[in-house]
Amino acid sequence: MLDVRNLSIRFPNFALKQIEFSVAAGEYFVLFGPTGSGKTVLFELLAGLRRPDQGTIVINGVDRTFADPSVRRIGYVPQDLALIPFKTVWQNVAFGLYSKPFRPAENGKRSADIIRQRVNAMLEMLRIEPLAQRLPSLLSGGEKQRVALGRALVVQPDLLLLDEPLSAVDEDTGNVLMREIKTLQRRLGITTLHVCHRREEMEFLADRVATMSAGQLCV
Amino acid sequence: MRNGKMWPVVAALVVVAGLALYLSKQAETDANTHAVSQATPYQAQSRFTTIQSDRQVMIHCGNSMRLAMEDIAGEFQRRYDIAVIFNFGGGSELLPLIEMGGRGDLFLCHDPYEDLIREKGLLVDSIVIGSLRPIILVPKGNPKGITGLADLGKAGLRLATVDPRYATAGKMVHAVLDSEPWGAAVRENIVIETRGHSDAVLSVLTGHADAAVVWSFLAALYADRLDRVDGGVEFPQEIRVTLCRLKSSTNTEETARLMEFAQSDYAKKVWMDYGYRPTERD
Amino acid sequence: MGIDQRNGISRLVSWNTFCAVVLTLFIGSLVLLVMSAVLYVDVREFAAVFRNPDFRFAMRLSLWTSTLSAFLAVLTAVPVGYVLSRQRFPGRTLLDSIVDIPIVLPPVVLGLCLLVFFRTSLGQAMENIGLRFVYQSAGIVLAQYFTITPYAVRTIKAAFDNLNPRIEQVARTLGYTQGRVFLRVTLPLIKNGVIAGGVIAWAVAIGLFGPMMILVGTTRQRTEVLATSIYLELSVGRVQSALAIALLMIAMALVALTLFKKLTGDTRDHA
Repeated sequence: MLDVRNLSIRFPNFALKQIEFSVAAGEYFVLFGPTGSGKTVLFELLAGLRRPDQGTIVINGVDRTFADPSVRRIGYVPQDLALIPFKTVWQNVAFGLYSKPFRPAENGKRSADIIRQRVNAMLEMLRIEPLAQRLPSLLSGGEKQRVALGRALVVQPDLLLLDEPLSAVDEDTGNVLMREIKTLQRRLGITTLHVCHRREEMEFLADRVATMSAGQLCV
Repeated sequence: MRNGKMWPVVAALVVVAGLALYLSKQAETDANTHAVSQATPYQAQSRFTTIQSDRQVMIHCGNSMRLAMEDIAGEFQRRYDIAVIFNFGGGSELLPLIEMGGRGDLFLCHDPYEDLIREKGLLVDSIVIGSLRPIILVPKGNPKGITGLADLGKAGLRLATVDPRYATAGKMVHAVLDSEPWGAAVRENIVIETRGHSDAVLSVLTGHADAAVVWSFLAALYADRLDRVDGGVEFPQEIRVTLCRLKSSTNTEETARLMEFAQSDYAKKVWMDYGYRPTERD
Repeated sequence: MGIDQRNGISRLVSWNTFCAVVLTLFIGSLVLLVMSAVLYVDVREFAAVFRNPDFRFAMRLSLWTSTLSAFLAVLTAVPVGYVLSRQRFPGRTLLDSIVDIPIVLPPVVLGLCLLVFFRTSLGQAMENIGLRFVYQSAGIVLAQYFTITPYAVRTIKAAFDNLNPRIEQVARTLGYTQGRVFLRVTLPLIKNGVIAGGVIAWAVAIGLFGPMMILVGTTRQRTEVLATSIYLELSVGRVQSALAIALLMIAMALVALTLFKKLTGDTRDHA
């Protein structure tokens, strides 16, 4: 499903060196490593937010190394979540469905109706339906996390990237959320790449683990 | 603020309020002495307005000559139905636009601007309107009994002059002070040297000086509030006011008309009223 | 350090109180300044100023030129601020400084530069095809535009600087092109900064006089803006009417600046 070969990028004081790994369809793949080991940069390369110096990124058999982020069909949940502050929970989740590549085709029903259905279903699945009309600034850490997840999943991406999703919530919320993420991933069968530095999180979630340190990856 | 002490804020407010009260009293006395006699509010003085006409003449006019020229232009418009379009400014401020803007029929200025535009090849010809010289302005009634420049050396007198670095009048006054035996005493009394003439006058109006030495035409502007005293000395040079026809002039006939009118009997009286001395070209 | 380490003054006056006093004194002195002008001016002077057609023309001219130039300044400042805030390229700091040149330049010199420019062959060519600025009200807009755009760029660049680029990046992965992301996410996020930039630019424009005298002159009913009126009144010693016009300008600026605070202070979104 995802094939990364020889991926390298160089910065003045940091470098990712010849990263190689593959993730099978439906697999939950955890990248484990301390902060500063280059996990976020790797995600940015996968999402197309940076261009690598060399190497290839193949998604579903298509070379996407230099493709525009808008056509990669990747659901990206960054560490700081980056919810759109002036949009409500509902609007945040629905946002991707109004873009050209993700707008649902009209099959007898108007696309606006399909969007409403899909967003409501997603809010229900994440148990944030009552918060639909709230602005992100009024949400707790765990609630924000669910909104960011919903926003990434509602467009039905081929690949889900989770960057330290439990780092900003307290331990109890984290444990609940951890279980929910796992359940959701199984239910949707979505290929997931998850970055974390907590051992219990890694052990609970991972189908497979790779360890990152100082810009290098050991599968 | 909930737990802070309130009294310093209150004290600050009281200080400000007290100052405001004091100020308003000052202003009232000001109003009694000045505002009533200041019979030149925005509309009261007959203000010049450009008429609508197919024929027009454009004149760059030095600030020093503005009020007299506006008076003359108003009469000119009435008589000939030719619109006079003014561009005002200090001589040095007008120069770049005259040089590079390539527009305008006339330039009314005092020395040395005629020479400057001649050097730059912008001048066609010119007529002499009159001359300027420094005079003394004192508060109404001349409370300090000043009769000439020499009196300005009296002990304790506060004098305002224009800065010789920027103003020709300042240069002329200092030249006289250098050559006269009483010059040093007068120099001692200078409390403020301003860049512009209006600022020097303002310091007498507001009571910060007892006398100001400025161009003669200013006496006419403040005739209701200040008295004029002649310097009682001969200045080594004469500052002429000239009306210059510019190379950029396009309204040939109208320009000639206005130059002619600026020397008419009507105009001569206005120039005199505003303190310009009739002068012939050397 | 014990609790009672505070010295005499700080025991009497808390930090909050100190700040409140400084604020009161500063605002008080400003009010005092304006009040002294208000008290100096005869009430009839305001009425007279309003009745005068030259003043009314100057007011209209000031309003439309400064509004147009503020609009153009914002249109320029958004892309310029974006590039300066987001792009990293050699010479960026130099470009950033060049933007500020009009702030450093004495206003009169800017007018002189513009005047000299229109003497060059390029400037002459522009005039020949009808792009006339010297002696024209369009020249007022031009002078204002160059003076105020740096202020708009500063404000709007700061808005971009404070923006988390991650929000835009996520929007990109959700299927939006860069242009769509800018319109649907970035612009609404920096809306307050854009409005603030526009208002500050407008306020600077309406008080601008320096370059006008040099570039367009001070001709009544043609190129006379409010700041010109003040200059013209002062140059012949009409202190009262100069102050009356100035106070009307202050009133307008006050409205603009209050608007500026309302739009930027309280309604800021927290991401």
